[in-house]
Amino acid sequence: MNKSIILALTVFASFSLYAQKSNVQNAYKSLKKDKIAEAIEYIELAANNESTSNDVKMHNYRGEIYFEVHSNSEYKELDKMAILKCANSWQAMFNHPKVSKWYNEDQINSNITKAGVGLFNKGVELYSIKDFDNAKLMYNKIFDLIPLDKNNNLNRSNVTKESVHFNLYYACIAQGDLVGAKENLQVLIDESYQDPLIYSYMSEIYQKQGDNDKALDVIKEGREYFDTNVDLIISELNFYLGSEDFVKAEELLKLAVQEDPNNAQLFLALGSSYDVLDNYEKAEESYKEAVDIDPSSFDANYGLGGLYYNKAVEMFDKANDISDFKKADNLMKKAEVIMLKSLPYMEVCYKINPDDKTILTVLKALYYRNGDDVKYKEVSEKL
Amino acid sequence: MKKISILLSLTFTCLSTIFAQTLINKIEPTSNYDIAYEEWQLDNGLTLIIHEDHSDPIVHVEMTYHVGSNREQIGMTGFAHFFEHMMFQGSDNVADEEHFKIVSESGGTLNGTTNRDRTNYFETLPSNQLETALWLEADRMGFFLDAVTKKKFENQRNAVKNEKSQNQLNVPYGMIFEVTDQVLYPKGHPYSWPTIGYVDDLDRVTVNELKDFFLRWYGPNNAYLVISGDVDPSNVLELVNKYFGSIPRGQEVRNLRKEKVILAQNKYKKFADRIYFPLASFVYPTVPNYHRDEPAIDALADIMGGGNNSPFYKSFVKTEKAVDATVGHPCSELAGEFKINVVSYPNFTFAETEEEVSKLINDFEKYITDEALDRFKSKMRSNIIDGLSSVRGKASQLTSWAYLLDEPYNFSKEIERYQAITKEDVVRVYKKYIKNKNSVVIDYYPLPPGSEDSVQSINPYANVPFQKDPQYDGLTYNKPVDNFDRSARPVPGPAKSVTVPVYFEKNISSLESDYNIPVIGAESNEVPKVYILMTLEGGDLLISDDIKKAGLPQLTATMLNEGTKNYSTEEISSMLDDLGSSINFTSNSRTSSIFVTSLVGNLDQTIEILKEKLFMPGFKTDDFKRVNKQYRESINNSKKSGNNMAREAMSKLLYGKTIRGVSPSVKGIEKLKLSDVEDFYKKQYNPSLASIVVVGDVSEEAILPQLSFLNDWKGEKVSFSKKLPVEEINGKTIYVVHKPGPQSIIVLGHHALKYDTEGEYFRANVMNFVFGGAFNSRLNLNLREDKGFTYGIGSGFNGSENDGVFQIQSSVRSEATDSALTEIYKEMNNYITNGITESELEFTKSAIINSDALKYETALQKSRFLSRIQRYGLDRDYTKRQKEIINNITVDEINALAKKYIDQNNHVVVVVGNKYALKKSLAKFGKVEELKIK
Repeated sequence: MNKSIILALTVFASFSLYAQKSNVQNAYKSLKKDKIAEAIEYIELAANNESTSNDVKMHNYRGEIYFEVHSNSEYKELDKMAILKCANSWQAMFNHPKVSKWYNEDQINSNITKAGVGLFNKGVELYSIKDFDNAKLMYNKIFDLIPLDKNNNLNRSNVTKESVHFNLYYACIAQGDLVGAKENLQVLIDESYQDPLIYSYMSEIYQKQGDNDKALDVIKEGREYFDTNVDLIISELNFYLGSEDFVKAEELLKLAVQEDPNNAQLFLALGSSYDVLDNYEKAEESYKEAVDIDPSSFDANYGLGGLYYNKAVEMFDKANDISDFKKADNLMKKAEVIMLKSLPYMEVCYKINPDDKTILTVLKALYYRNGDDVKYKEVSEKL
Repeated sequence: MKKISILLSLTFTCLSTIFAQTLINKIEPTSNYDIAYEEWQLDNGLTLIIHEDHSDPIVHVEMTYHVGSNREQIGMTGFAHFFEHMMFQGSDNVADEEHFKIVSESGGTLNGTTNRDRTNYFETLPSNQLETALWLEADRMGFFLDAVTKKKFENQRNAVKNEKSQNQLNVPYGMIFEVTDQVLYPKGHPYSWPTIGYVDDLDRVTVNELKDFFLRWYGPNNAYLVISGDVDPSNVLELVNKYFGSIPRGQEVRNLRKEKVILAQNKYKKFADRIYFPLASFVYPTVPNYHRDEPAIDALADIMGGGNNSPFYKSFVKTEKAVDATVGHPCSELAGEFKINVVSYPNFTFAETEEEVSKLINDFEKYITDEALDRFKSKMRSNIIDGLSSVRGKASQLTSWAYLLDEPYNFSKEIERYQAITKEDVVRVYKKYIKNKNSVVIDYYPLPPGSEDSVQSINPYANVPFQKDPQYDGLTYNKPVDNFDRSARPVPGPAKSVTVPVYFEKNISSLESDYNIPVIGAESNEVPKVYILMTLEGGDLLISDDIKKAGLPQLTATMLNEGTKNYSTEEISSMLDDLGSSINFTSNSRTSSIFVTSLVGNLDQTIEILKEKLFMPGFKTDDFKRVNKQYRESINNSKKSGNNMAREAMSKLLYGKTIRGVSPSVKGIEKLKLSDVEDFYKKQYNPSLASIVVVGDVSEEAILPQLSFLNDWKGEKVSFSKKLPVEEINGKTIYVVHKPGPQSIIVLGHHALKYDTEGEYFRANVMNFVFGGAFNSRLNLNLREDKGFTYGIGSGFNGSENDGVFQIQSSVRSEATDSALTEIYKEMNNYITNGITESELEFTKSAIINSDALKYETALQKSRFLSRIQRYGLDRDYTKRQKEIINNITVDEINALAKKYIDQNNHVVVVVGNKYALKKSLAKFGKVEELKIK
């Protein structure tokens, strides 16, 4: 090759390298001048050029630029996935062989923490707007950063492997991805994550899949770790009530009440189970206890009010089928009394949730029966 | 076995009323520690507990409503505490502010407190005033709501907001509880918000919501009335029936659910405050009050970090990583918290603290020994016994047992609960609640120096729309119907005569020198404890010729709290803990003191340790290095407290460059050597300067031989001047000390009278009573109750043998600083110009004279009385003569005293606050200068 050509090529290569290097510097200068869009342009030129694509400073500045985009509401619209790009850049910076030549350990570690926390928060944000796929992308990226978190600062920012798996579970379940949801819960169970909810959730998945035996096994496994946890006890209780194993159910209930005597949920669970089993007296007793404990509970009031209302409807239906008018009349009178017993409980529900159509319909019927025209009109208008 | 008779459904009907009550329990004491009491229930559900104690002519009336911040909800936080304020604002038959006035002029004291679980209102009064107290309490239970006005409501809303600013936002570490609770408890948990509430909730609340809260929770069936003291139970029953029997039962109240707090992982939180030392706090959720595991967890906490021999002390304080490292286990009705707090030196990082704490916790089982557990039991026993020392202490305990437990209870049972703990129990709870368990970890760090950022309380639910709980719907106010006139205030019977404690005076002669050590003492056998106060004249006065050594007396006292020649600090601490005793050395501007407490059965051994500490101090180099560093850092720390800055500024202005005017500096303390401490020790801890007060369950004959070891005390006679120069104050200057924050601290002061018991000083304080010496003083009624500038303001004369000062002090909303000062000047001018009214003077006389009954109840009160007699050479009748002076004092005399001793023209004002805002706004009052506190 002609010497002059070689020289020219060298000059060109140097110039090109210089040009790319200057892209890195220009990106940094633009960042400092708050010209973020310009900074992105420069840094992407540098990132996509072979000579600077693995430059340690490029990785750092790219991380900084995208972190600014992520964290500053003024620039958020420039790139909605900015924190992911930031995390990739700072991860590359962390692993770069020359990183310690240019940056001190505090800065390197701080970048990892900032990126990890940013990803976590972005994941939560995306979940809240139901962008589950991208939320999962954010969460999954965190797993790459956790091993780099030498000083445990992600942990100190409440970003842990477990909390990420938990959030991934929520995203999966929201998408109806039972397999993914189970995988994440299983990791948490294997890691002995100290939240009884993971067993309840896993059990629910098995129930959805029709595997009740496995669902019960998971609850029992949870109770080995959280023997007196009332949520798990209630879950187990529901299994026994469902299978009409009242001996075991009562045994568990006693334990639960001993642990948590003022838990309306406990009696509510029992009440609704008896309700399903058509054991009116026991359902009434349990619901009443739940209302007594928590007079403001929508569920407890709805349960008891609904029990009376449904019972009355059932009695009316029965009365309609009786040919002996006198007997039918008697039964209807009794049904009337029972129906009106539901009124105060339904009124509490109405106060809590004034737009619930079912409540409004029931109340309309009740006010019609007790002749309260003003209230009848009020609920009718809302329907 | 303790004998407890439980009588169910035994109905006692009073002759004078139609109401009835049922005796629930009648408890007879079966051990020295037990107290007798009766528990009754009225038909309306009010629980009444009566404890007779005729040792003093006083009665304590404590009304507890089983409602605290735990009955609030998101959007309505701070209600229970707001009520604590509102319920002092009058009712149908008690005028606004009259509650304080009536109790004060009856010679009583009163207050109210609110916590997560309950609100209490209490009065301690001469026993002839029992009916008055019941009348007052009943009126606000049954006749409160119509007296609630918009104006009172707004005033108290301001007072509560001021309280939050003053006690939480403007105090170093004041936000730690709020921050911890926000993280520890899940959303909506009744403990997840602060008892004082969030300001935005307080701003949002309406009068009607507050009234509904009252109707829901303040009925007699949710209340516990404890009457403890010099009473006749049948009379109490009759009176309680009369005043409370007709009050209708409120809505039914069920206990709250004790929801277990589960932390799936450690939860971290960072918070910045105006502090010097960073605080790392680790909080583990545990069990509620009286849970079967509570005593063992208490023991674990004490073994971990309960004193100078604890592993946490040794790992952090002894090694100079932290200034303080403590472990505690506070429990409430619904949950408990195992708290590790490490207040580290600024150079020790949070990560380092966390690592060290983690290591200690994971490897802690080896520290759980029988010896450590025994030490804890001794301490606990001593603490429980302390609860028996006053009618108030007993009432408070009786109340807690009543609302927390469903069984008859007593002090011996409480002691037994702790004595029964085994080492295995402690290991079990350690593994169950702490080891490898998750906690809330708070990194409470200092705002950067020079930062103008404010410390903020943020309501995490601020954006949650408030949804009224339906349980507050449809509540109605049903006033009681009576067959007597409630508007007539009860007329108290004759007051019982108050007798001052019988005391002895003796001298202990030093065999080695010519001095006598005066001893004064009184036997007091209400609790099996002995309290000894040894006072040594001198303190700062001993270094008045060398002010560069400011702080030396305090440093020496701290060194004396360390080890001795024969024992290390840890060993001495263990020995004292084993006995349930304490020995504390302190020093102030005029004296150094040694305060000893001991169970009477352990007095011999405690005295032996006192002897060792007093005569054989260790003065070890390592201890000195550490203590010196702690002192220096505590000086840096004190610069973060507005109150300290105000105190320091005022001393400087009043006393100039004298030992009383200069404050210890970091440089000065650093320069002090161990030899300085040794020299000061020789000078200060000297028989020629000593005097002793002994009060407790010990006779003169028994205690004097115990103190005979002082016969061998050697020392040359020490003389020093007690009179020091003061700074002349001419004219009026306002000094601003820069410290931004939500509150400004105002202190106005000038030189005044030296102490006396029957002269002008005594009379000047009588004169000050209605000006700023009582809750319903002119200053407080104006600036707190009327204007809402402050949570409280007071004034007083404070004198010693040679001189004294008059001061007015308050912490006010920063934006109201100049308005507050305007009002202070108005009140000063008005009092000086127009003087006291006849009715104010009557109130003053009545309040001061009647309060005599309350002055000699506890051993500590008795020792204060004896100390005064000893110090000022008084005779036992001086209090009688004081009463005569008060009885005879006239309006003219008071007015002359006000003109003479409250100087509105020559004084200094220190204002600690934001100088940028203050300098201009304060200029209208006179010359304004900035004062720097170095």
